[in-house]
Amino acid sequence: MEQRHQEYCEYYKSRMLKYENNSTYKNSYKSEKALYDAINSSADLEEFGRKVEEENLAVKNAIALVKDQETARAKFFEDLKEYIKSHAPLRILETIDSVKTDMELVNKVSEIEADVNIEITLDLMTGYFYYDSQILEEIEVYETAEVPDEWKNKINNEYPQSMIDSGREAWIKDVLPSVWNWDPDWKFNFDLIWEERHRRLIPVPDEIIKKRIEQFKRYRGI
Amino acid sequence: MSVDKNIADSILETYRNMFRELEDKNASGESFDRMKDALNRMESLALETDDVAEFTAKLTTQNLFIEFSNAYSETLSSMLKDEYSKGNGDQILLEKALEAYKYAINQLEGKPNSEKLITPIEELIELGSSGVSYPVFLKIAEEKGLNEALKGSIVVRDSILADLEFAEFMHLPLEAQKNLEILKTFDEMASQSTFGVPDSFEFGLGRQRIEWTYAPKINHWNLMIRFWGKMLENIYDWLDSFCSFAPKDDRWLDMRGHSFTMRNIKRTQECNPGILKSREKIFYEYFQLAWEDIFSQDTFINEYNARRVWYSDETLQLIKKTYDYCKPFNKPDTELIREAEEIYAGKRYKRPDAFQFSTEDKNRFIAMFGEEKYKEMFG
Repeated sequence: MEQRHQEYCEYYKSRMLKYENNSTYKNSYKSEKALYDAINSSADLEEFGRKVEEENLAVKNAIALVKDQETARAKFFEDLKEYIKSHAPLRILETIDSVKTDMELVNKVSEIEADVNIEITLDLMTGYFYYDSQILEEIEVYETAEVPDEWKNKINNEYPQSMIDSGREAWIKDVLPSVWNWDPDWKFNFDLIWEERHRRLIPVPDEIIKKRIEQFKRYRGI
Repeated sequence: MSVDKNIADSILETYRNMFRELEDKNASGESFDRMKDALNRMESLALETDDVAEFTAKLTTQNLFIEFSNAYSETLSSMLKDEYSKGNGDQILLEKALEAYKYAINQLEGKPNSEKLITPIEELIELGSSGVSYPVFLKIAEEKGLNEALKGSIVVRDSILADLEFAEFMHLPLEAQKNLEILKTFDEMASQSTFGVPDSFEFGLGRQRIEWTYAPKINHWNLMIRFWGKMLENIYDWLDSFCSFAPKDDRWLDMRGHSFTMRNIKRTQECNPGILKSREKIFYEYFQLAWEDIFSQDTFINEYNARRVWYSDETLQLIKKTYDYCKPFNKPDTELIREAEEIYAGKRYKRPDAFQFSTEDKNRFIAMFGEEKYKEMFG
């Protein structure tokens, strides 16, 4: 074996060893091993080049890496019940075996990631409910405060109403136009609040959330 | 109308540079035309839209970032294949790699952490220029973990360590625990990896899991602080509103005149107890805790020790004593009013070290980030 060939053999071996016994990279280990076996069993680098070309080993290797990482990502997000974030790896895994070239692979992955990022952005809008909870608490505090008759209208009605008026105005003038840039048909979906990925971030009992949802509808005029 | 030029430039400059870089190398072909087309559409959107949110949303929803980046990769790859087929492939690949690393150093200079990011790149350049062949260069880069270092693994560890130390300095226990776990994960992965550097992808997942675990705990912690902070303030203001200094105090002083000021004071006197009662009800619904539980909570003890509970101990004691009187339609005891006036006259309502860092904390910060940074952040 000539020196350059030997050096490439050692390089491919180190790439293969990086993934050895790593359960995340099972496919990558196999595809790296295929490359290493191909170069090691070739008489020279030209033969190796032909094998890589004919068996599409470089593309298969890239696919294996994406497959390993997206499989891990899909499992990771499913474990965490982060179902929207899991859409990207799941969609990549659905399509990956049909990919024929490295460029097709890169383009496909980028397109899916970009699409799902929009889904994630829209899903994160559910967080508005929790961000608003501070003002919803204030509205409740003022509406229910036990005060002398002289102050009832001011404290129990005017203050909370002025907060509600501001909340509705900001929703129509700022929030909705900003979200509609991403999806012109977007509407706040109250069911999403109860999905684990959102519910877990709201550190109060369910009964309170039910109450706050009604207050949120009134506050934002939804 | 158009988006503010500075903002549009900050978003588009990277893409313009990428385009110029290939234009200077006489790039051509269908993929290069697609790059140009995507960039032109980005520039047009910057002129057509007047709102940054709308501009960035359109860049994304119209797929322009992706179209540009994909076309860039295709152009670059085809240029490299052309050059590779013309002559000594290995030599060209090595030269291209070194050229790219030098370009990366230029881009990084002057940016945060640039020194640490540049070090592994310089090591790669040194290795590549040492006369080794391309495959040997690749093998050593792989085995020494230089490829992972190139992704910033050294900076990542340093930045986790800085986050941990900053959280400790700021007395944020959950943030500190979170960063400690992230650091341990990093070190464990490094020790288990073949070449001593954690796989950036696997570490990324590990980090996300820890951050995900801590997010609800941190929300819970912050919510509790927010609540008892407002309850303390309600009582503090209520007692002070009965004091002789109230008409001159900023909390009630009204530019429209004395009668408005006096009405503001009356409102606090008559309404704060009812407001406090409503807060207490929600506080109990949220945490099943009552007023007297506040002071034994970790959140309170921590904020007190961090000097973010700004009332003096004397005032805190007075707030506790006043609580029993702060009921709807009630008034504070005259003795409490007298005590509040005395504290106010002696300017003892605020603890002297409120929002200050202890000498120990200050020295620790300076040791970590330098005196300049301390002055910049805390004066």
